[in-house]
Amino acid sequence: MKCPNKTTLFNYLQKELDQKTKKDISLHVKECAGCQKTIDTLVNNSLLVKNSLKRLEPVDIPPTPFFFKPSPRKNQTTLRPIIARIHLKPAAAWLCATAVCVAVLLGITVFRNTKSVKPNLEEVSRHIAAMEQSYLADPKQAFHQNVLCLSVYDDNKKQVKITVTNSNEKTITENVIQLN
Amino acid sequence: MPEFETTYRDLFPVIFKFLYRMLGQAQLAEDITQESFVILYHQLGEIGNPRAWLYRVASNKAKNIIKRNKTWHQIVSKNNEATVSRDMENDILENEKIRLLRKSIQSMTARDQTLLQLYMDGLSYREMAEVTGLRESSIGKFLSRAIEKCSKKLKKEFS
Ligand SMILES: [Zn+2]
Repeated sequence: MKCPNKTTLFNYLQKELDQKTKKDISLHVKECAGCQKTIDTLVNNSLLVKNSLKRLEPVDIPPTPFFFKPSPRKNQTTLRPIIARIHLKPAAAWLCATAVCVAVLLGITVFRNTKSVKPNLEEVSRHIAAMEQSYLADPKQAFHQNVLCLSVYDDNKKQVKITVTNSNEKTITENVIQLN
Repeated sequence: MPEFETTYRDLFPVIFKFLYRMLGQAQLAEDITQESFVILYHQLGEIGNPRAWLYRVASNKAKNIIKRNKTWHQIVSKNNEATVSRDMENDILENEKIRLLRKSIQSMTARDQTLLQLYMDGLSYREMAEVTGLRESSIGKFLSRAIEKCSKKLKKEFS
């Protein structure tokens, strides 16, 4: 067997070859110093790239958001899903923030709690759904595709402030909900 | 729908990390991850391999963002500002290294970047083909060349 090309040796290292070729190469490489050298280089380069990419990973991985039950809606197919950005307001009154992501038009609500204290998510989601409904009832609004829905939870007052903004962060509608 | 829930729980952190490596911005990575899962939820019945499907949707979204160069620079500089103001002096050096590292990788084509990130996550050639739309038989060639190019850049930048 003559020396396989670099790509084939690489595929050999990735275990992406059929059994026969794999065996042939394995036998060849044992006897061939040139291919052994190529393999060393391929392994070193792969390690360098993998280790470098590893360093680009975040230090903290956010907790997986709670995937809230979807609520089927009418006339939803033509609209894109909308996911809310999460903002933590620094204002002293809002001690604890619950970030609420809402895929408004598809009717899916995703929640993420940033603190251990949390309001009743079902209750909050009912309020958000009501706000969405009135928002969607306005035909002008249906054209806004990037809607952000923010929710800030105040543990002291047991209330949640929900703000729906457009893509320019202009408030479209705002609501404070008293939780039971 | 237990199948969706398992996929969601298992792959949310995986897709998030993949996007974070590509974009360098946690909020953006998380948003795109969530968006991808919302779409998956609605199409699950039609999708053979949710993992490859999620990578495809997520990497297409990431590629679009990377291609919008202006936005990209905004993201990077915003990210750096925030980091620098918060961190200690030692970390600034570390951040500088990460920034250079990201720059080296960003200078590659979107296709090569995607292949490297998929390789990092251990996808098979077949899955990589499904994600990128390339032929399975060409993956080895493109991927090995991307690795070679990338390691050259890294050696040059960090030698
Ligand atoms: Zn040889």
